[in-house]
Amino acid sequence: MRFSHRSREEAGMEKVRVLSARFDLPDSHTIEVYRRTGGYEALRKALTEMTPEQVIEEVKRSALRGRGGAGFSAGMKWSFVPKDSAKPKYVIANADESEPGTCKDRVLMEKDPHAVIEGILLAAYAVDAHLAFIYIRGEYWYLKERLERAIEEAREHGFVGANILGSGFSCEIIVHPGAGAYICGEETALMESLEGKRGYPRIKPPFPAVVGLYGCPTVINNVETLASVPPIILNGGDWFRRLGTEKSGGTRLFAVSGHVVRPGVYELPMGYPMKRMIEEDCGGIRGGKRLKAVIPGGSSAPILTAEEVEQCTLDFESLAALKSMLGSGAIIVMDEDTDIAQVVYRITKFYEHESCGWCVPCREGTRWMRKLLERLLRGEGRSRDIDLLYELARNIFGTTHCPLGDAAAWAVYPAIEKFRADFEKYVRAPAVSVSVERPLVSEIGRSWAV
Amino acid sequence: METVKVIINGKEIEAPKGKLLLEVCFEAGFPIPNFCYYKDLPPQAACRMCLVRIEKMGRLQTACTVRVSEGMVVTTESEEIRRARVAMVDFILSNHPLDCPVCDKGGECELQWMAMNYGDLLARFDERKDATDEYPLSPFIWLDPQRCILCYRCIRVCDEWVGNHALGVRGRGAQSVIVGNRPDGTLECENCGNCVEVCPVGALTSTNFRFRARPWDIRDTVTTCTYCSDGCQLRLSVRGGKVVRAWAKDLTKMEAEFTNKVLFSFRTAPEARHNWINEEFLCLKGRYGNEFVNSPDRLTVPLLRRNGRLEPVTWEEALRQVAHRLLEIKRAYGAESIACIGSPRLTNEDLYVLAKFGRQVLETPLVTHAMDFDWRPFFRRLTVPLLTQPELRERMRTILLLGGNPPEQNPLTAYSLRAAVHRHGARLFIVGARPLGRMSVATRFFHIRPGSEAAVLLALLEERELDRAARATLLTPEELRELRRIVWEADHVALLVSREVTGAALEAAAMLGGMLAAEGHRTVRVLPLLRFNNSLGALDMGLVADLPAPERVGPQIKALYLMGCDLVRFYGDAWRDALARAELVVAHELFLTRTAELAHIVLPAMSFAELDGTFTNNAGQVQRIRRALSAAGEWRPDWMIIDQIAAKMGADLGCRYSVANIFREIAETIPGYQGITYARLNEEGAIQTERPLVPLTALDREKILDRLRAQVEAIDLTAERLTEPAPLGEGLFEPGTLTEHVPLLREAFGWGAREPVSASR
Repeated sequence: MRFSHRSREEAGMEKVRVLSARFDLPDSHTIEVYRRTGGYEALRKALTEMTPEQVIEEVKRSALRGRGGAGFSAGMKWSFVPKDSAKPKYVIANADESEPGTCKDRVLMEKDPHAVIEGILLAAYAVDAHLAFIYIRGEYWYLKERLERAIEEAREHGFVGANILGSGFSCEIIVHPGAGAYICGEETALMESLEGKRGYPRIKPPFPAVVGLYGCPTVINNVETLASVPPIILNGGDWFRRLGTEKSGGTRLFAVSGHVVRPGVYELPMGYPMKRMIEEDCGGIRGGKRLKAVIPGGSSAPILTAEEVEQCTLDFESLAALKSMLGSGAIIVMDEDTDIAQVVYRITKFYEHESCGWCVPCREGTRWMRKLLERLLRGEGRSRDIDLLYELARNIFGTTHCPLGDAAAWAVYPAIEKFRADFEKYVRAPAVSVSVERPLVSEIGRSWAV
Repeated sequence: METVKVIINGKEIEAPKGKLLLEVCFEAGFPIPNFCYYKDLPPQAACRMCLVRIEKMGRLQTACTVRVSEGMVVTTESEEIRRARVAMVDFILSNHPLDCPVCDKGGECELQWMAMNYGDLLARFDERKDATDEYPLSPFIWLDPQRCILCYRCIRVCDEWVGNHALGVRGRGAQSVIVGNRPDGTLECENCGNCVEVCPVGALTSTNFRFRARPWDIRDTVTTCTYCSDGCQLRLSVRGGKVVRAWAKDLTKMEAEFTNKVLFSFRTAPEARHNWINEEFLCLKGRYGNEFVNSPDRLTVPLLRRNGRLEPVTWEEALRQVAHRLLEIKRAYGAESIACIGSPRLTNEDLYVLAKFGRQVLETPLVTHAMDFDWRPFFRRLTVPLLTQPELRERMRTILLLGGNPPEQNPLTAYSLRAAVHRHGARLFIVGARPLGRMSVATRFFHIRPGSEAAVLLALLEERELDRAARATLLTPEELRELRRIVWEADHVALLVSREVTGAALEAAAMLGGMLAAEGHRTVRVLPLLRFNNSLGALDMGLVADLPAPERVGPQIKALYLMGCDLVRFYGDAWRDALARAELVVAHELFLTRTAELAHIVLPAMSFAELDGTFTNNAGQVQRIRRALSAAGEWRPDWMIIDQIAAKMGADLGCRYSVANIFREIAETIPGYQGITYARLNEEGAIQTERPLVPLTALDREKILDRLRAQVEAIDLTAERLTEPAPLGEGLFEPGTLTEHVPLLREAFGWGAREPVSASR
């Protein structure tokens, strides 16, 4: 065998299926199956035994961190919603899953829509919201139907609508489809879109917890984050936390794509070794090839080399230490035949296409990088182009209005740092790049003015 | 106001809490480059030029969105920030066409300055640029999308200043382009051109200015607009003896922001300090309606009727004839046979000299002006001060607009109303017979029967009359009670009185102000929405006699001395016949108008662009107009013409060849104008005259109410509310005496050619 088989005890990792527990059951999307397997018990428990504060406390204790990409503590987010606000409050489930490589929410909504609904209801109860939205990616039209059907079922059983389970708590859920813009997955752009406007990210602060949808306090969470809440309420935050690491609680769904034998969505505990996931769970690299690189968190995350993968575990801290991120948990595996320059070009094209156009560095920078890469890949590149590309990406990073620009930059400059040879091979006449210290126009102007 | 201490570049600064960091830095002497920030517009944070380092924050922050808080430590100059700015200029220039040599903005372009101040020497962009064609968004406004840097100023200005919401963005990412509100992307709006004004680059340009001049070969003169009574300040750009544009951009900001202007520096005259009552706002007419002064139709020489035809003569001949004939008629028929009628468009100085001429030389009581509307009852009973535009924007909390259509008739007032709502959440209540466009900021609209404004005033003055008023207005008594509550319980109340308020209702509106003010010593101001730029000045200068009925011309009135007023156009054909009956008609005119073509002697006068003088706006503020053009014809100022005629009649009006002498006399003799001088006007911009206020006790309340009741009884109760909103351009797109000579307006609105002028009589 080529793969080293370590026992679970050796790894210290127990594979508990929390989110994917029902995935293999027939008709798992129906409320009958969901209730038979403990569904809506968490809601009942919360509504009858717990105060909203206790719900938030339990979620905080679970160390549940956002599964959409940013990894912010869900419990903290909920606790930011002002208690004394006279305005209505809203809960939004962000189901605009459009990060390249990410397909975990799709499976979740397809196989277990009621878990999402229950999570939404628990969040609504925790922050005293009576209207919730599921903003779903437009291409997921079939999931929109499934979710709407599930909401109807839940309503028939008294879990959605007025006076849920006789508790006096009411909550409606509306499913709203996006129109195909990646940027509308950014939480404030999503709200603009939901309000019927152009999907531009808003200026932050204020943050959505205070000024969100229609100017009202709003909790917005990823679908998977919300689906993790019912087990937390049922089994306790400490239980969930112990499934993962101290700072990244629980398990999460990883969408593995690329050159592995068995791509797919895997539920793994936080802190699970990435190498082991690739080799054991996914069956290793396709065709027995060698691993070259991994993009660990959807196309937005900086690329990792095979060496970095060796020491990497699937949790926020480990990836942060490698100057990358876990993002949406989409793991793109690339074998030794992959041309990283082509990968970077493909991703850059994506970001150029999806840039909303609001701010200068993202709008102009992504276009510039795409054009430069196109020329480079045509074989018309010069050696200094690689340095320029690197510098462009550095200049985009940290200066943009929203994280899309950072993502576009992260797709480029770490790749140049780690796989420069892949770019240089396109340069027709490789030469030593010379950096010349140039004066600024203003300085010249000053000397003229003297 | 609560203040906080912040440290900017090591310097401790005290600033109002919550103020924008960019503004605090600017005032502290650390200007921060920016494109998309604009005073009083909502922050955009799109250009990323204003990035600064704030301690304890992970990344660079945009100074245009951060509000200062206690203990904030800010760095605005560092290597990191310099690099970020260089990068932003680099990005903006990457697809910018760099066609500066043919771009109208070249020389006054913020991107040029930005590149000069903060940019890199070399452009590193080596790829093909995405080129797009320019095209007209409207007959007035052109768009070159490739030049656009997407600062969104135009969109925000259209939303906030103009209330039109006519601009938006189409496309995404680098394909984003500014588009108009029509399906084909063109504009359907009032074409005020404020979007062009705020554009930092040459993306939006005005049809009338495109390819006509470069910023460095024009001379700018700050003057006052000659259209409505709001009295906007504007800058006339003149090149080669022609007015090429009017604009209102605040150049002081640029002056301070760009320390290293290598190529061109602004020409900043003392009067260009931007303390203008209109800030940076202009309307369609103010911006695009000034080129009548360039018109080839202008009268250039005096005309004298000989054998039924108007023929050119010398000034000497014309003036001699006028003096001779006036003396003849005065001797033959008495002084009351001569009527002097001025125009509410002329300067205070001209009108004052006309009045003085009429009273002292001709000795006639018939000295008046072509009043569009009789405001005399209002000003005779004025009980509270008039409301200035800055006060309206900054101080007024509750605003009641009685009828009218400010977006069309008084665009600056409409701008100030929107600003009052946007800036400090003033509540705006509109009473009117039909919905208004561009005023969606209103808190509430009271939809009344046409012509029933008097009944609304009756309800406001007298609670017992609610039922009567309700019948007349079609509002319910509850709605009227609500309106009473709004007006009577508010502080800082502004009453805007339009020309739909007439007769006794005008008196009542004037009185209401005083009654509100007396109640709890509240701040109450009134703003009468007069029509012409100097309607109030004409009243002040004493041209207040009743306009003679046309029938009297011939039997009683033998001579008409008309200064700039087109009576035929204004009052209809009755005056055509009247003029034909007169023995002598003297007309000072810019053009051969319908009236002038019937005159015996036509004297070519100067337009506002060639004159020095003052106008008094609807808030009683005196403002300068300044000579921007030298005379291309033989035209003379109106006051000089009269002075010379008087001299030929053996009288001295004391003008002594200087308009300043006349204003000095005005300041000495006209109540409220005391202490105003040209020097002060240059310094302060607008000076409000102190108008004598009538004490409430001096008003006969019951009599006014009786007259008001009678007016309410006379309201036509069959009239129904108008549900159609006022059409766009109702007031702005109609031809007038001056605007019909503006080629751009003629073409844009299809006014067609005027019927050929027949100079025979």
